[in-house]
Amino acid sequence: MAAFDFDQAFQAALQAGLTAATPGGKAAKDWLRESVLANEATLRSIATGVATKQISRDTASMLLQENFRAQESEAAALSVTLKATAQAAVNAFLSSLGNALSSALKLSI
Amino acid sequence: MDNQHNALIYLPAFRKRLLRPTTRLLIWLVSLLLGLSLAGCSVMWVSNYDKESVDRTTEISKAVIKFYQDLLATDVKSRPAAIAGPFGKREGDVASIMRLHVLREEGRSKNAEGALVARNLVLSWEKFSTSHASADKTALSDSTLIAERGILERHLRSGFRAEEAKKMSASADSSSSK
Repeated sequence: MAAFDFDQAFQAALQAGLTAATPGGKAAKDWLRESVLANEATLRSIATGVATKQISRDTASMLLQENFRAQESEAAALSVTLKATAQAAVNAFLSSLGNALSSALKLSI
Repeated sequence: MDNQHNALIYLPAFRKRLLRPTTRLLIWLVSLLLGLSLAGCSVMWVSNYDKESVDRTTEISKAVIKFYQDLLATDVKSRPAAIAGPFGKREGDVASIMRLHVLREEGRSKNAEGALVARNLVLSWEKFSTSHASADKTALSDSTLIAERGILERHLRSGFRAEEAKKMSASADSSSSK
């Protein structure tokens, strides 16, 4: 009976985890870039409004506070993306390792 | 027999002396992983994708965009009267849909971020509604309304993004188990 190659199974599981994490990592990166640009656009529009006297100081202050709140929402969305990515990676790793071990056990029985 | 007995007595001490703490931790970790994988376990750190949540966010988005579109299409001088009249009622209606959304999001397990985004959306909406009714002459100017709409869209986009991320995680799980 061929011996179970744990190193190979572990490497395959690790690769499965990394593959599962790739789309989530890219999505997180894209989202981060998108929120930076959105924040910049908001700040620019407030500054332009103040400069053209279309937005008063009080309104600008209120808008800035709400801009921070929007940033908090974007950070929360980023947090979910990262958690979901980690979840997908860990589950792919466990699943791959479990399949390899199950196959090895079935062969040995 | 006596030797065997001695070996059993001294085995833990022998292991302690021979294995460093890091090695013992590594063995423990590998054993845990093997146990988990053999038992077919999986982790769950975020709630499952919920289409109803996306549908609710879509409905709120439509209402918010339409509200600002209609308000921007109204003459600047007529806007305070519009807010005191039909637009004020619409603000209340949209706030109600948003509040319902918050309750539904808070009711989902492992969804702290989704609930936070929903709460932030209501808070911003109410802040803007209060500002619209204020005596500040620029509260209803085009620039203010456009900036407000942009902020609300960022909350809504965050809600969509958070839900889509869960969908991505679910599809990755199912593909890995195949």
